[in-house]
Amino acid sequence: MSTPIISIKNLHAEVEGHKILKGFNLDIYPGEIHAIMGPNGTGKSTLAAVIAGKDEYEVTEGEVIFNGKNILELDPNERAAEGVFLAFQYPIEIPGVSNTNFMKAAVNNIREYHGKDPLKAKDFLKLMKEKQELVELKGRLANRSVNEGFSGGEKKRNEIFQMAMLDPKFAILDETDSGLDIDALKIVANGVNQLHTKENSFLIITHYQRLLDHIIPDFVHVMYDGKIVKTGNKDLALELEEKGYDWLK
Amino acid sequence: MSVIAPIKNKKFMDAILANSEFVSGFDQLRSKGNKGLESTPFPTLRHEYWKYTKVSGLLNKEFTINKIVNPVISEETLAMMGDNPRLIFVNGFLNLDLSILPTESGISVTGLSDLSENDLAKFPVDWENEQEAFTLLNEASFTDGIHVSVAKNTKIEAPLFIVHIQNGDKTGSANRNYFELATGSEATFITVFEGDQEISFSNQFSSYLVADNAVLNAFDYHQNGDLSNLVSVAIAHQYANSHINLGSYIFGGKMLRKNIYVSVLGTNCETTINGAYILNDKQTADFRVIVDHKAAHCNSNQTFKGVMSDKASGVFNGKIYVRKDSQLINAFQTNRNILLSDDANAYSRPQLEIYADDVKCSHGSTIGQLDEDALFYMMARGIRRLEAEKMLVSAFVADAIANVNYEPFQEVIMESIASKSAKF
Ligand SMILES: Nc1ncnc2c1ncn2[C@@H]1O[C@H](COP(=O)(O)OP(=O)(O)OP(=O)(O)O)[C@@H](O)[C@H]1O
Ligand SMILES: [Mg+2]
Repeated sequence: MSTPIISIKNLHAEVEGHKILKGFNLDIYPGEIHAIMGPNGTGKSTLAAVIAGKDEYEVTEGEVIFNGKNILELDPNERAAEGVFLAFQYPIEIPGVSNTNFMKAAVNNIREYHGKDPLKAKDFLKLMKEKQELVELKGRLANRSVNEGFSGGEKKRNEIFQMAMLDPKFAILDETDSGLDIDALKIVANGVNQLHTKENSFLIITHYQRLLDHIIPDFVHVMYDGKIVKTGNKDLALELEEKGYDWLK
Repeated sequence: MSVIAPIKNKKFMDAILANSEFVSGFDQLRSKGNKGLESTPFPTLRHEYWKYTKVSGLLNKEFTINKIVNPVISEETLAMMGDNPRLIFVNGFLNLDLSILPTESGISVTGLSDLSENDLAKFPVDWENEQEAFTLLNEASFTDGIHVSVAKNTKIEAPLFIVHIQNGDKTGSANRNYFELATGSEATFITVFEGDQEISFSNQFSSYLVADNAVLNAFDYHQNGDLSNLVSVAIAHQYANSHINLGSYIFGGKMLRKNIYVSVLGTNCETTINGAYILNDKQTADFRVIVDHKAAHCNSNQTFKGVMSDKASGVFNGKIYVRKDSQLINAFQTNRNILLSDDANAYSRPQLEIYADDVKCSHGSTIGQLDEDALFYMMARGIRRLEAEKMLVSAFVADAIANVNYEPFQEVIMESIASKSAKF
């Protein structure tokens, strides 16, 4: 068996003294899609933020090995450059920074991290165009400030667009499906499926099994009170939709 | 027998006044300045409009005003100026060898040595008789200056650059420049300050007369040397249907104090006054900005943005007056600041004084930090922290430079914002 792309071991994390992650374990192998479901406030977004490197969260125990490296020691931008991507549950608005400049900085900073020259303007614009088509954003958001005044659905599609631009090895989608209409949901799912290869893996955080009709997970985990309490296949999502979470608590 | 109290800061004044190479023929102005200094002390922190900027260190030094030759103009400034006309002042003396006079018809530049006091009598010299000691000292000690006049109904296309270069240890400079825009005329002036890394003191005065339907664009770009001090007064009178568009952009200099007074004297005027100061180390930028609406039916807008790191401090004292019969005024004023370190300071006091009833005025100020959520979001996309900060600072400052109408200059400002933020 190959080695996991990401291995989360006995992860404990807290914020301002509140213990949120309480011994979280998960291995994800290249090419796998995992889904995490669970009640509000159980720590799903916290897990995502800890992996991405938000420093408000203090890791008190455990480790996260990504591609053989302990990424808890890296800055968020280094984690991104190593191939970690987080599609935010609540994407941030950045007034005054255009989507184009934002992505140019992201792409070129990551290239720099790997010792590569910046992309030529022409090649960058070509890449932008190609990836915008993937999420059907069609360039109309390029000159606007990052997420500023975007509709909820546009913000989520913009996250998938950014993911496509950066082509990560491992992406966490934190409730990317929340607030999407049926068409947008299909666009997002289609984007993920097109990016999905034998090498790269996804962790999909969701409350609804409908996304999992379009993105078929290899595993579904239930998270409760800071750790995984049950793991199954995609049928578990259907069961949860029917029964709720009480039987697992 | 009475004891004569020693005049404070006498050595400071004597050193500056010792220079004998100043332009002659302005005796009334000089004696007004000298006389005023007898009864007007230099400001201390007790002075209402000098609460946050200490000048005692400056006043303990002796600066002398000396002519020098062969100064260096920075590559950046040369590139920005291109082929445009320029007036180069070196330690406060106009250097005609380095200057390129405007050739477009409708604009003329005259050195003060070719003018008399009477020629300048029409220009405003103060606002409501507000006279600070530094301004009086300027009147007493100025060495040189220019009078620029733009003819009726002419639009001057090329910006006129005015470059002040300050070189030499404990050197001073003092100038008075006068700008006259006749009815229906338009011109752009870009004043650049730069110099070496020695301790210096520059004392500047500019007066603007903007006639009916005229458009004035005047921007100051400060890349003063790290140990330089500057006090300046800009005073403008504008008449009906005219536009005044001012900008002050501060990157270099140890202590800069800028008083800007605009009196709006005719109806249907537009007034924009913007400023941005990106400071680190122990830099201080201190603005006192007055917009005095003395006529009805006008709009004014002020946007000042400060970004301070290390032990830098940014001060904004702004006041909008709307006089009794000045109805239908829209006047806005914002000062927003970002502090990047615990020791950095921002002091902000925007004020309104309104005596008319049919007006729309607002003012506001904020002091905050860079948005940590935005920084994390950017870093989560692979952007280095420094780069992310630079992008956020540029975005924050952007609306304070949006009024710059000469693109190469706007680009230089943006580059300066980026390169200054890289020093944080
Ligand atoms: N910065 C913070 N300060 C204080 N409490 C926090 C902070 N971040 C998260 N929490 C708390 O940690 C718990 C877990 O939050 P988290 O956002 O990870 O939940 P979640 O599983 O993503 O929930 P949802 O399904 O509603 O998105 C919640 O009780 C939340 O209030
Ligand atoms: Mg969440």
